[in-house]
Amino acid sequence: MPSDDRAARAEIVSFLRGRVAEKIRQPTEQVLETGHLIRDYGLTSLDAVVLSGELEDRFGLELEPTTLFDLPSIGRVADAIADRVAPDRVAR
Amino acid sequence: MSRFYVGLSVSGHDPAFAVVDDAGRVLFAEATERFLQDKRAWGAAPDHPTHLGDVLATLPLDDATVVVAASWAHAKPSDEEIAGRAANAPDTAAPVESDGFVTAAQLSWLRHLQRQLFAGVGAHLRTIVPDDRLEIRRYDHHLAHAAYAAASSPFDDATCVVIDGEGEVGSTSVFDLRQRRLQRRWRSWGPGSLGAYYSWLTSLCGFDWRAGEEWKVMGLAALGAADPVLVAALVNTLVIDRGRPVLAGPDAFAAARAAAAPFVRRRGAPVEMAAVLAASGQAAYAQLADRVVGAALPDGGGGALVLSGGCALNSAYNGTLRRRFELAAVHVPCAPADDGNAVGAALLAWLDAHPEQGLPRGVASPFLGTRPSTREVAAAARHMGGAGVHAAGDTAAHVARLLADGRIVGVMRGAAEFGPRALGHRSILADPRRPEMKDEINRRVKGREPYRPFAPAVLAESASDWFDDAQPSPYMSFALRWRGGAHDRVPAVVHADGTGRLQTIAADENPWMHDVTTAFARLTGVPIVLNTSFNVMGKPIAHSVGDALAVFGTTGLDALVLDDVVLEKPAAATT
Repeated sequence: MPSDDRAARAEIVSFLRGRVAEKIRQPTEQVLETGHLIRDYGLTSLDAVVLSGELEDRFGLELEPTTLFDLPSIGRVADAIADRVAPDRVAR
Repeated sequence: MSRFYVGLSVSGHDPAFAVVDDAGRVLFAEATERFLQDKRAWGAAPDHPTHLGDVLATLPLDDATVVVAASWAHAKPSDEEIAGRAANAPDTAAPVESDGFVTAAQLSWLRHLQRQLFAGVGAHLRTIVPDDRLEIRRYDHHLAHAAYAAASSPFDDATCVVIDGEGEVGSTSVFDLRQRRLQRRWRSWGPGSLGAYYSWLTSLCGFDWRAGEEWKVMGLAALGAADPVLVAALVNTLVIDRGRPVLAGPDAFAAARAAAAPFVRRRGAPVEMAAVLAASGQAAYAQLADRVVGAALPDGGGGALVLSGGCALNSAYNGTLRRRFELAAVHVPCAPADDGNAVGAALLAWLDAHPEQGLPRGVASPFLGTRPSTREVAAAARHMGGAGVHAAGDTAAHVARLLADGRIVGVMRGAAEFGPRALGHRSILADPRRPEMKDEINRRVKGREPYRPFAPAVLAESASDWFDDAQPSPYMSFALRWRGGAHDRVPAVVHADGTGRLQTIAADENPWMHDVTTAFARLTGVPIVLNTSFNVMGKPIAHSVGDALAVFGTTGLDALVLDDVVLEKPAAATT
């Protein structure tokens, strides 16, 4: 993975962990990159949809409607979209 | 080798098809409801063999490649897929939930229709065009809305806002148009939807959104006074987060239901009972839409705005936009709802094949549909027993005289309008000066509810004499406030709230209607004619010469224009 993408990936992971932690009212450290968003953290389908919108807004990209259902861990989502992050949305 | 782009609107409602050629010209566009004579044509395929076949037969398809372009990028999930997702979510109770505005069963039905139509894209065309010359493409729903809206606008640069029931992931998208190229800035995700809100409002008012009765709510809104407490409760059903509509949740929804309860009208009860609810619901819609549009516009106002999606049919709201947001201009396409996506998808396929170009120009004309069969027109002129036939010379001047004499005239001339409005090619015209004319048209021809307004068609060059803040409105997209005195001069086209959903007629865009209205002005001093769609209550606009003759023969229409033939009943026959 090119270094730009690695930086983007790290920011996506950090963003998602923060947002999931907020939704489930747990400290960020409790939210792992490898956890299943719905099974492990109890996100509802609606939560996943809202989170998809937040991801788009934050990183200036467009997701498939089912990305967060098809790739249900934070790490796998980040792997899949890191190379599509808009350049101005990541501190480099 | 030539290429054609066939756009298909496959939402499951308002199907339509469009054909764009390799120069980016729209050769044809028409909603399937016209051909089927079934309003909104729920569940019908947009590529009906006869409807599409007649148009394809006029194209040199022998060695052409046909690109089929669908108006959705994805099929909606099935009930089973949704249940599967929910099974992973421990606290999700029902697999298919109501979003508050639309019932679970209705949502399931809507998704089912979309899935069915989406799956069928190209299946019929494969029987006509061999596979090696057929390409199938699928485009984002809101992008298709935006493409048609922006292409039909005169702007190089604008903010383009799409608001409808639901796209792939949500109800609202905002695009930047820069040098005729579109780029999405953001879109909303999830079930917050102004379109769904308006469907719900339509149901509460005792009307049926599946029949497209949102019009009735908009018309009725002028008769009631908005109740501020009710307006606030309705507004609270949605949170507009940086322009993105989000459902406020069950508590806000229950509160809105409770506030609306005293004003709810049962289907079949007198319509006036719902006037306060309609007015309040429309006022709430305006507040919500303002928050969307305000968030989309750079610096909250100014510049040019393109508005599309089904919600862009709200002409009462549209008419307030220019002044409130200090816009240089507003454009709403002639078919902002899902029928228009047939053109939008075809244009997107064209753009993919011409990446060096921006959106094509010259796609602003709404006259894109079927023409009257010349054979049938000639037969009607020959065999219409009992009717006088005027078949020579200047039909426009002749029709203007009929109108000035108080006659009600049906018109079927040239290519049909694309979109819901009759703009002079499939219209019923009448004299707007006569106070009794509205009731006459309803009694003798249309059978519509008496509170619903009829629209004025006004010469573009005279619009500012008659309307405050006059702006181009070639497709009746904007209801504007009449200037003082109009109520005395053209009472049949002034709505209860002092507005008119005007059509501005420019000589180069709509020459025959311009001629009629100019001749009418010469006779009467009024550059305005009443223009309503050529249909009877509950039916789509007349499609074939036979449809037009049926309305002529079974209603009190005084005269019927079929291209350059005018059929007239004896003067005493129609009252």
